[in-house]
Amino acid sequence: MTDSARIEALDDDLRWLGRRLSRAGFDPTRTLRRRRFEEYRYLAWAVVVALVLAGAIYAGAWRGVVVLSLAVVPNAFGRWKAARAERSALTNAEDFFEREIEHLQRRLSSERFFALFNVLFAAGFAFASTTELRGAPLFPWFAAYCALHGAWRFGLRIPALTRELEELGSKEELGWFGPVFILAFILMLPVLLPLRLAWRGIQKLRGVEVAEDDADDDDAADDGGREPSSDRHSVRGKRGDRK
Amino acid sequence: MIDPQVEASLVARLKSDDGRVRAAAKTEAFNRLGEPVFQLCLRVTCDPADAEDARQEAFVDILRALSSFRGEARFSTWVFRVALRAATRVRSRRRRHDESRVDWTELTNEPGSSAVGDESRGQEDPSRELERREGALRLLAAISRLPFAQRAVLALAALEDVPRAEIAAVLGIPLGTVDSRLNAARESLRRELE
Repeated sequence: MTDSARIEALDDDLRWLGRRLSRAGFDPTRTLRRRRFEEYRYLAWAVVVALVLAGAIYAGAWRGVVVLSLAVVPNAFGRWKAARAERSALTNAEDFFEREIEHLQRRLSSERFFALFNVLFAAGFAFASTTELRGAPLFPWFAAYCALHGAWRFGLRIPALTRELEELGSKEELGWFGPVFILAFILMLPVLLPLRLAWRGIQKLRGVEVAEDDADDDDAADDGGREPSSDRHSVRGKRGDRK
Repeated sequence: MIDPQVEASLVARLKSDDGRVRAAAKTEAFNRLGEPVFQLCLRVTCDPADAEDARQEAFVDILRALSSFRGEARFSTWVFRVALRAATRVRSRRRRHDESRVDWTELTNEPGSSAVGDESRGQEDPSRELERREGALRLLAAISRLPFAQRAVLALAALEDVPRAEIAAVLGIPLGTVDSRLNAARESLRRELE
């Protein structure tokens, strides 16, 4: 038997197996349930964000509103654009592979952007948690969430998309992104120290009294019996004490 | 392949305002195209459970987007394109979540795995059946190692009565590219199966 006849025979077998496995009847229940879950998940997410924003506005924390909007809106916009592209891809007749590559490349660049964005936000939140901004006790949690999200994108999502693109014949190099991301991630926390010092300097220049570090707190407690600060990283300003 | 006139009438009935006519047309569309779509999805996803998911997704997409089907291409061409996209999506989702593979042996022996249009079921010699199954799985394993561009062309070419011009129309690529990818895919398969 020649090679092509052998492949043809195996293909017949595969067709036979496909017929055996192909179930009769259209039952989209699972697909529709999954889609509904996805739609409701986004809706639930939107409701949560709207509630948080409303709460922040009510509490007068306009900085929190700006930060949260910056963190959420570009991502939501990206998802909406991807969904729109997916819908339009159903009806056009362009090169399937090019469309697929284009679609994956767009997702890859979006993932890269948001991975860096996540790290920047993690750094921002970590820094903000050391200040006197309203909601500061929550900021370390936001920082941890952003850092984890960034690491997840970098470690799982981006390699998966790169593999998919490779399968389609498009070789995607990590290029500058890999070192920049890792450097940003590593530098994220040490960079906060000079930022914090700068913040404290600015506060001092403004004449706001700044609480000393933990060591100083402990010393103060030893010396005068005063309770050390319960918030280990807070910089407390007493605006009323301005000279 | 469905006759173009039958296709046109099917599309008209699928778009009908009468719910009963529409429901009957949906069943007919699935009966006519369900199996080829499954065969296509099976070769793209290389997993029966994923292929089943992809088929369901494809038909949901088809029914939802039917109003935007302008009839510029053949209905089957459009259906295969939607199915190819659904299969690609399901496959990449599965890879991302890295779920475990399905047990093939269990699936092929499952009593519920009815054979659509397979009249020979139950009359086949068990040893021949085993041989065919092993051959099919070997081929599927070899297909799963092909690059996606070749696999998609091969999957469409494996459908009965689908001319090469139709494959080119589904994928939106020139006929020469279809031929070269098909040859490359067959060459790779030959090497894999050696």
